[in-house]
Amino acid sequence: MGVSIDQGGGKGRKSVDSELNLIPFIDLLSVCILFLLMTAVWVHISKMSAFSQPSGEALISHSEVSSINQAKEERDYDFLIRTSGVEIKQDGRTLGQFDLTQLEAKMDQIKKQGGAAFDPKISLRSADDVVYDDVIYVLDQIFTRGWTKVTVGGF
Amino acid sequence: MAIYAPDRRVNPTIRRKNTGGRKSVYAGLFLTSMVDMFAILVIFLLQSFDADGELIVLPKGLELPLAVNTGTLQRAPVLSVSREKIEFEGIEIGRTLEISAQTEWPIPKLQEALKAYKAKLELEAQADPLKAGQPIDAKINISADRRLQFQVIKKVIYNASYAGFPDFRFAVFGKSKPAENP
Repeated sequence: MGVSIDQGGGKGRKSVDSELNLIPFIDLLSVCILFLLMTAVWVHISKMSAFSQPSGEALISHSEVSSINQAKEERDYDFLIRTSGVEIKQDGRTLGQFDLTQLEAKMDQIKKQGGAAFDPKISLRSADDVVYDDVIYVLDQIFTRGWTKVTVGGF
Repeated sequence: MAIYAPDRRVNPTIRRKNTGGRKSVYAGLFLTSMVDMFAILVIFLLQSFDADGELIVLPKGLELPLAVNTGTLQRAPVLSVSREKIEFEGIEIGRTLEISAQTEWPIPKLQEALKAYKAKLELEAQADPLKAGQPIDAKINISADRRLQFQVIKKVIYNASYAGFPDFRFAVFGKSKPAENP
């Protein structure tokens, strides 16, 4: 028995203290620690979701996947990432080219204009020589504004 | 509570040399401290416990990008792109430099591997009466090195789309949100 409880029975008052049997308690804790140490995941990896965009017509026109829309996708904004900065287009009209620090202010402005429930369709495309880290940074900034309809591709 | 000068003995269960008796070969444990330490360890490990386990085993030298707005990674086939090689579910597809340098878009070995995986998913779905008639869950996790040029990632994405995996998740390390200025 793990816990011994004084039954009283003597002349004195019944004791309210119980004595814990330490050996099985320490055994249990040791087993718990071993199990948790063995199954511990020290590196927590998260995700950022996106869809690919059929902008590479040469490749996608031969695609066997019917779910890919081969027509030009409808989108509200184009984010074109280059090493020189990010160009934002709205319905094909250029709003300007911004470096990574100016980008946040411009996106805040777009969000303010659109309102809280504004969730535009965004096409994120990047030049070949852009570092992947920068693409993820821009994608992260888009998700920060609560915009979720993002397709990723290249140009 | 009164404060006393510390005794010369560090542990009352260890006998001092000048006590006269034979020196014991046993040292007693402070059970209270030990149980406290065990309890703290258990609480810490329970808090960091993840029932899903390790979903992605990162190849040596692969550094994932950092992002704030992230979600929970789900189990899916892993396409890893490190600076040395491209792997799908642990099978080497090619050397990253060679694929980056090639002018053609298709990566035949990657497409074959993805199509084979998709065929396997379809077979499993057909065999399962609960999944019959439903579209298969064709998603992949892409874990790519943050220092790579997007050119390589783009080729990988296009080949994944071509092989029937247009829905993908970029694996990232989550970072905390920067503090907002008052």
